Formats: sequence, structure tokens, C-alpha cells
Amino acid sequence: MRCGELETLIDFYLDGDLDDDRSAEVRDHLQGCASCRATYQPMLTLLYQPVEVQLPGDLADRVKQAVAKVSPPAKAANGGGQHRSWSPGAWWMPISALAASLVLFVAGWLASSLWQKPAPQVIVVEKESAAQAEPVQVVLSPELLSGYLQSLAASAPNHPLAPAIQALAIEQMLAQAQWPESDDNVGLPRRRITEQLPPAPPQEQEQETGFYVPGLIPPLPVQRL
Amino acid sequence: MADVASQKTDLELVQAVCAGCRRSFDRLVDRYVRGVHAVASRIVCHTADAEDVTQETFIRAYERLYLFDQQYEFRNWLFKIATNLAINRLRSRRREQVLKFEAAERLKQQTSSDGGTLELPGDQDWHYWLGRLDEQYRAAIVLFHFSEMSYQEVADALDIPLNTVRTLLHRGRRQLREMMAKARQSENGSCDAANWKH
Repeated sequence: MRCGELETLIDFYLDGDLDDDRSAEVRDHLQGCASCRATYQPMLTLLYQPVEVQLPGDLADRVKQAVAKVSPPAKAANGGGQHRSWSPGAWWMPISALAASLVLFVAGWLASSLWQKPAPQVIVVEKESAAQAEPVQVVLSPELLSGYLQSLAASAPNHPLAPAIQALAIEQMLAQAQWPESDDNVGLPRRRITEQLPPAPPQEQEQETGFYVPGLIPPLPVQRL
Repeated sequence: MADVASQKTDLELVQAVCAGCRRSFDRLVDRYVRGVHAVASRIVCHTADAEDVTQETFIRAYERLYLFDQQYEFRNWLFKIATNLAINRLRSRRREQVLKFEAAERLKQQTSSDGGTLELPGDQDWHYWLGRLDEQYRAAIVLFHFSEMSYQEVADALDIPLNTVRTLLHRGRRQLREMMAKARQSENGSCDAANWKH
């Protein structure tokens, strides 16, 4: 056996995982190789010829006196065994803690959803022509409506309802932007676009009053359907 | 009466304690105080802390005796409590730093008093060598080699998988071996690593 081989096998030897022949080879090499003996013998001496720890003479008595001051252990149902017993009256503590956590979680979730999200609104766009007699209903939050408008304008600019929806969205965005700190822009009332829809306020008037919305898409002309 | 009590098994004594006989626990203290104190001493490597851990181990065992699972040996359960308390004590006190500092100071004093000659601890000076091991290696080595527990019992005591016990033992022994060989090299004034790196 070579020294490098011993380094590989020494842990398996100490674990008792080697067969008798290999164990004998390890022992023979340790006895015959001065270098390996110098390397491993100190550790083997420490682990297999340990010096006994000196027990203080009065430690056992001190332990007994300390234990005598402690209240006796709770009695298990089978006299001390596999079943864990709870102290009387303590069973409701984890249940109540779990219930309180659940209530707090639900309350927090409801509060956050009511506080942050504006109520969805119903936008009814009607066309009284014979080609599209059924009104179109769109239920969108103001944020989604803005995105919907821009995608609609990009994808179907020639759709007959596109100008009306665009105009309505612009109007709502202006309404939100005018009172950004107020709750009035949360839950806008139902809007209806029909043939009698008055023309949207011209953008020039808003700009004349000094109103400016950064990032707002360019105003589109409102067309009667 | 004492002879009868000393002949009882651990389980019988535990059941007697749970039935209200506190004096039966004294028999368990007599039976295992030396082993618990040895485990605590070799992990915390500090005399006063080891005595505190020993006392705390028996108090905790007495308080929670109803949690003892009969399918395990009482000795292993007791050693598990002692090991956990000793590791907690070790972490709270950061004893390793103190030990290393004290060892360095001791070596320095010996060097100055002997006119430059270093006297390293002997091979059986477990206080010095175990105190320099990482705590996870130390606990595994103490339980396996000094308390003669099996791999499975060490795994149960430390709440780790069986293969992790093997890994900790291999790495711990390697660290120990390298520390001791390096110290011997320093003692002999030789820096030839090839002597112990075959």
C-alpha cells in the first residue's frame, strides 16, 4: 500500500467500512511507514486513547439539588412515552393565533384592494345605425382603458367605434389628471356615448387654461357615429 | 433499596419518575452525570461552562421527561440535550475566539520564558485540539469517538442525515490531522509539506 492510498482509505478504516484484508493492510502500513505514522498517529492517539474528563466531585450533588427545586414533570397518558401531552388549557393558543393571523391577512387584503384599485366603470357605447344595433359594453378600470385605447388605435384605426372610445378615454384621462390628489377620479360615473353626445371639449381650450398632461397621447378629433 | 434502584433499567426509572418518584431521577443523575459532563466539556472546552451545561441538561431532561420517546435510549436522548445546550453555549459565548486567543497567548508566554522554544500540547490534550475544531465537526467527533455513539445515533442527536454525519466526521478528522501535523512541523522547524501530503 502506498501513502496516498492510505490517505484515501484512512477514514473508511476508522469508520469500520473496510473488510478484514484491507484493514490489515492499513494497519501494516501504519506500523511500517514512519512518515504516515507521524501524520496519523497524533490524531489516532487523541481519538482512541482519550484522557478521561475529570468530574468535579460535588457536581452530581449540585445537579440533584438543582433538579429538586424544579417542578415535577407532567404526567403523560401512558406514563411517559411516545405521546406528547400539552399543558392543560394551552390547546387553544395555537388555534387562536392561527385564527388571528387569518383575520389580519384577510382584513389587510380587503383594505389594500379597496384603497388602491378604483372601481371598474361601465362604458356604454351605442350606435343607432342599422348595422350595429346592439350596444357595446366595456368594463374597464381607467388604467386599463388607457392601454386599451392605445392598442386599439394602433391596431384598428378604421374601426367604426374607435374614435368614440378614444374620445371617451381622453376625456376620462383628463378628468383623472385634473384632480390627481382627490378621490373624485376613483369610480367615475357611467358614461354614455350616443348620437346626442356633445362634442368633447376641444383640447385647445384645456391648453389655453394652462392644463398639461405629460405623456398624454395627442388629442384625437371626436367624430359623431 | 439503593441496590434495587440501581438495578432498574433506564426505562423503569423514567417511568417511576413520571409516576411521581423524584428520587428515581437521582439514580439517573448518578448513572449519567459523568458522560454528560464529558460531552459538555469536550464541546464547550471550558470548565465552568461545562458544569453549567451539565446541570442545565438534567434540569431540562427532568422538566421534559414526558417527551422522552421510549424507542430511543435514554442515554442518547440525554446526550442530545447536552449537545444542543453545549452548542448554544458555545455560540453565545463565542468561545472559539477566546480559546484561540488564550492559546496564542499561552504559546507566546512559553516562548518568551523558554528562550524561544515552543512547547506544543500533547496528543492527548483534547482541550487544546478539540477547542480549535469547527463546532459542527467537534460535536460529531465528540459523540462518535468519545461517547461511542453509532452513526445513526449521532444523526438523531444532531438532527442531520446519516451521510452528513459521515461527511462531518471525515472533514473533522482531516482538519484535526492537518492541525496536528502542522503543529509538529512547526515544532520540528520543518516546512516540507511533502512529509505529510503523500
